Amino acid sequence: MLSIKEKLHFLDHSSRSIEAVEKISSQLFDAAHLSKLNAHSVGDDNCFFILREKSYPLDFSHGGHTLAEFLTLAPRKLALVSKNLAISELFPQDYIFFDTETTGLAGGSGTYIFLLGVGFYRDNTFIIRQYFLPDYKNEAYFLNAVLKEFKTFKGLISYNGKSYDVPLLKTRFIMNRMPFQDFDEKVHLDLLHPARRLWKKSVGPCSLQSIEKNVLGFARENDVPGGDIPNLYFNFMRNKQFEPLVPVLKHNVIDILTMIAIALSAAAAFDEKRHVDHKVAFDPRAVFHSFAALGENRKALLFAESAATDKNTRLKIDRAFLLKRMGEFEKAQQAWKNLLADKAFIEIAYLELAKYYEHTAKSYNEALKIIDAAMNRIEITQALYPDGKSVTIENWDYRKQRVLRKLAVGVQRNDN
Amino acid sequence: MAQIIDRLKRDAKFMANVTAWKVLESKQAQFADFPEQLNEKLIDALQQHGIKQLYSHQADAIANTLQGRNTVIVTPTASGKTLCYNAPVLNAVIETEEARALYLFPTKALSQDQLNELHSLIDIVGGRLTFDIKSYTFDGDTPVSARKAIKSSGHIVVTNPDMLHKGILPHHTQWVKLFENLRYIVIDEIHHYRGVFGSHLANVIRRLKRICEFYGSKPVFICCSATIANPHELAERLTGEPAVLVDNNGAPHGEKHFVIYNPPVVNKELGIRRSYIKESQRIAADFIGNMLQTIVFARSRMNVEILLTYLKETMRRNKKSASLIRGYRGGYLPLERRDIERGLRDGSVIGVVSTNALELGIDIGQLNASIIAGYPGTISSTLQQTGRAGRRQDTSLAVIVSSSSPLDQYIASNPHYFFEKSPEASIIDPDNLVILLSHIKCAAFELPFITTENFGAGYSGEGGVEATQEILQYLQESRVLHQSGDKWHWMAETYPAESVSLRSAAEDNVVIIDTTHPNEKVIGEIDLFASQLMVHDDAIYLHEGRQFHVDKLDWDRKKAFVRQVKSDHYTDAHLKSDIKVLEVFEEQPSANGFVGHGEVVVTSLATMYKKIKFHTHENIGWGKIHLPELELHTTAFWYGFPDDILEKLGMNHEHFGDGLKGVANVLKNVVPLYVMGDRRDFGAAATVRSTFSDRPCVFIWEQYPGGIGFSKKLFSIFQSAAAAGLQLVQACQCEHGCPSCVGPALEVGDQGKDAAAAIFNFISAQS
Repeated sequence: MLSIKEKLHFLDHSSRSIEAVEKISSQLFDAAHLSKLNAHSVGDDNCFFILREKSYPLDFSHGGHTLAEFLTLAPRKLALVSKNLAISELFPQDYIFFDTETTGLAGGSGTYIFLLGVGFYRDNTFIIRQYFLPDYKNEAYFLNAVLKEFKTFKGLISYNGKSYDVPLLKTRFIMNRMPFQDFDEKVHLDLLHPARRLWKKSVGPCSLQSIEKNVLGFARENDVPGGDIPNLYFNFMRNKQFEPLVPVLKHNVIDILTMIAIALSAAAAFDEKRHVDHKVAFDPRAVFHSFAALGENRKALLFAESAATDKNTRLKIDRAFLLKRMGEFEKAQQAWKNLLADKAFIEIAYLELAKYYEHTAKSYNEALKIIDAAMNRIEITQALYPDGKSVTIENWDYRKQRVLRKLAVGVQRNDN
Repeated sequence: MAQIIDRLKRDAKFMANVTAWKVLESKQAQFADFPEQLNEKLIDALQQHGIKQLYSHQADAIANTLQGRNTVIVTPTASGKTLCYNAPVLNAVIETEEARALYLFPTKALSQDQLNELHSLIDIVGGRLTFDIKSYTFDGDTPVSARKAIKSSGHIVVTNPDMLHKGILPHHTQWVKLFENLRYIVIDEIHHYRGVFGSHLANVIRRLKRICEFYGSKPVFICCSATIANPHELAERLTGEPAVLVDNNGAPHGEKHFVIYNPPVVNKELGIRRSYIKESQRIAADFIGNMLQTIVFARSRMNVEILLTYLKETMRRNKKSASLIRGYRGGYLPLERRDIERGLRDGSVIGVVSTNALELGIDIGQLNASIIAGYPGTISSTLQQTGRAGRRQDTSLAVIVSSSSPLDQYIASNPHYFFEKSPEASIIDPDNLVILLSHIKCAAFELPFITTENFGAGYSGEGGVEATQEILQYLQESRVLHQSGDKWHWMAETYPAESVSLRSAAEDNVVIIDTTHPNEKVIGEIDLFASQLMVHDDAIYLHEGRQFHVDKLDWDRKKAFVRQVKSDHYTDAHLKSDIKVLEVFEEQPSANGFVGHGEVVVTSLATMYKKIKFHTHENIGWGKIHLPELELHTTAFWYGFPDDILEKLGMNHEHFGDGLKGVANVLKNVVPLYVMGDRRDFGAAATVRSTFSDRPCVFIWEQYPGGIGFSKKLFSIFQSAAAAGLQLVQACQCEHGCPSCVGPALEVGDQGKDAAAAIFNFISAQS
């Protein structure tokens, strides 16, 4: 009679071939070795985690920026970077930077966080603390310490933390029956989103490494590839050899330091001194919209006037719309006329001008001229591109008939 | 209707082919009061909805569920079963806003339909509440933007087993609200969950219960089933909990006529009958021409199209609008389907030709007549399909037209089988090792196992899989789990649910790719064992009536490249199967011999194939097949003969061998009468001298690795199966064997049929 295991060997084709399990060394963590890494264990022999702490002087430079620069960053700048007004109430010292290393990218309740690195400013240094989970059974203890670390900070800064690290942290808290509301209540600046807004057009996919290479201008040396990380941890779980994990700790430190550099580079895009030298072109529309979103309309307009080039007509349109929103109809009208003269985005310009003359200026004859010009043009473009126009000739005609009716009414009134 | 029935009865030509005509008397409704525990607001709403009283089975079911008993409801089509679960679920939400329920339907289309019904009730109840009752479908089509709201605020979440398995359970932390407050789990159409699919679902439910336990809920199960032999047992096996059976159907129905119609034999030698498709079409045209609202069920999409074309032509010939007849099958667009359903309800569609897509609870109202073109394979399906015809008061008519397949022929000549209590059991084996292993992995990913835990233990804490810890140990050795403290943790990057499909067999399938046209197209998929026979290099593969030449079978990549051809021959591969018994589970004497079941390993090797000319069946050549040997570890049933069988039967070796081959073929065909499965789920082989016992043996094995309990069932009902086999052979009108009974004479020899009958007589005789 076959045992269950023997049967499984016959039936299970999916499992990998089983190698001999390496001998687990009874020696757990050598305090001397840990201290060489600036690390020590916290807890007792039964339940502990490893804490590594390292402080960096403010003149430490990474990715073309010193750590001190972040401390002098005006809160308003970070609000512009994140397009979130709430952020302007926080000071640089209020933030905790964080990044996790996990047992897989698939997500779901079987993915564990085994390393969580945080960084924050204290007493004129930047401190990076790394919490390392040496054994699954210590997870609740590990998470509890992590939670305490986050408690004192008002704001979070991450890279893709909103859709990756935070949901995963929540999952881990739920799995350990611990509260996690804190993460929802805090202000969270996820740098992935501003990075995409500013640089996606010029650098493509905005992975942390891609931003380092294309925006910050450096490449990591001897970095451990992200895909290898889960297995390095699994090997550690089996053989308890900590040494091969040291590159993962370094990887995590760089991730955090890079976030500071990204925040600074992003903030520089909002610098009013136009002479700042940017290593890579950022999308001026992102800057414009951030100003506008925070209600800094004048700055947005100034920026648009200085940044708009012939290549950048979308920005001109954005500017014209903002003028309209601000009630600066005369200026807006001039902006649309300039666009018409540039022969760029003519349909929008015609439409906006028609609206202006009809509804704001109420000069119906001017409106009719624009409508007729637009209809002439549309007949040509429609013949060229039968589909793809949102404003159809019928729409224009409808508008024309309405303006004609208004004209007629106006004529009657004048008669009276 | 009465006129048509009268006319058919006097039509001698029609009646000559009728093997049974049974009348089911009409029945009055049996009502019962609303159960006391039911909230006043809900009773008000039901009454406003037109439900003044409940049918007796509804009242029973609701009362049981309200008292927290797991309940399984067995009722025919159109008996108001959805209320049996909607009422307790709405009741719970009315009383506690936080209460949640999960609905599971086997298919997406069905869940959409049941939700419509639920919505109309919610609309009425909603007016009496201070909050909205929200019900949502959560499946592959649910937009990402809607998912967050469903997770946190859906009172009733409607989904299917696949989505539960892949999308919900592995992400249970996003569904905290649902799992903390889960009061009811509704599993509709449980008879669909049989064999491999059912065995998978039972394990998905085990996982679901583990997660509920983690969040502190103990939901009550409400299951609904069509008529099968073992609904109660099936529900308890699927849910792993004791359940109460409610089957006192109180819904009324009118007089119902069942007719079994067997098309006449046109070629006695080969046992060929007139086409059942043509016969079905003729009968349908008659009914529809007389403006009887009729539904025709066909077994395949292709047959639907053929029947539809014929019927539309007939309508045009008779100067009637062809749009009175519509087709309905998978592949039609949802809007088109809704349009047809509406047409059937309002009477603007008189005839509909459908696959079993309309067998499920989609609301099309009740029609006058149903025609089943070919036995659908199970009584339960047949009843669901015939249930489509029959209004509450009026007389209805159901005609079952037999095809020439063995099972159809068995039903045609043994109509009592159909009208008596269903012997078909839905068999599942949640403990099949392959399936169990997959789900233990998924479960470990979802929540770490505790070192004292038995997977699948009930709410009572009792039961469950005893081998759990041993399997976890194995998974640690396979490096996907890691024991830490008193728990087993998942330790792999992968997401195990991703690689486990609930619906297909565990082994790889071979994909068949049509390369006739520049844009290659996948036209089918077959399992590895069948692929050796059907798609080896240079085979002629038949697909939907077309012929394809297999240019190349790429064994490593599991792909067969085929090209459409016009060939004058087909190919018949020879498979050498060898069966070795690893472990005998049970063995006992049975009528002159002995029966047993146990664990076996089947090795099969395709060695050569013959080219056989169509029509003349002349052998015009052969070729070699070069494929590796396949091994299947599974369970099997066997019948062993006594040593002196040849003398006892007075046969020589060859004669007996032919007969035995026929017996194996027949047994394989009649097995689905007892277990709801498919012929393809079984393999059969006969050996005149088995290595296992040194005596002649017939083996029926299960094609799914590890088996899912069919063999054990066969062991307990073998005498009935053998008797059915004998009846099938005796009733068949062919001369020397045909595909409807023992197999073609070509395969079993001229004496095969007689020998098989004699052998069946021997093994079913009382000793």
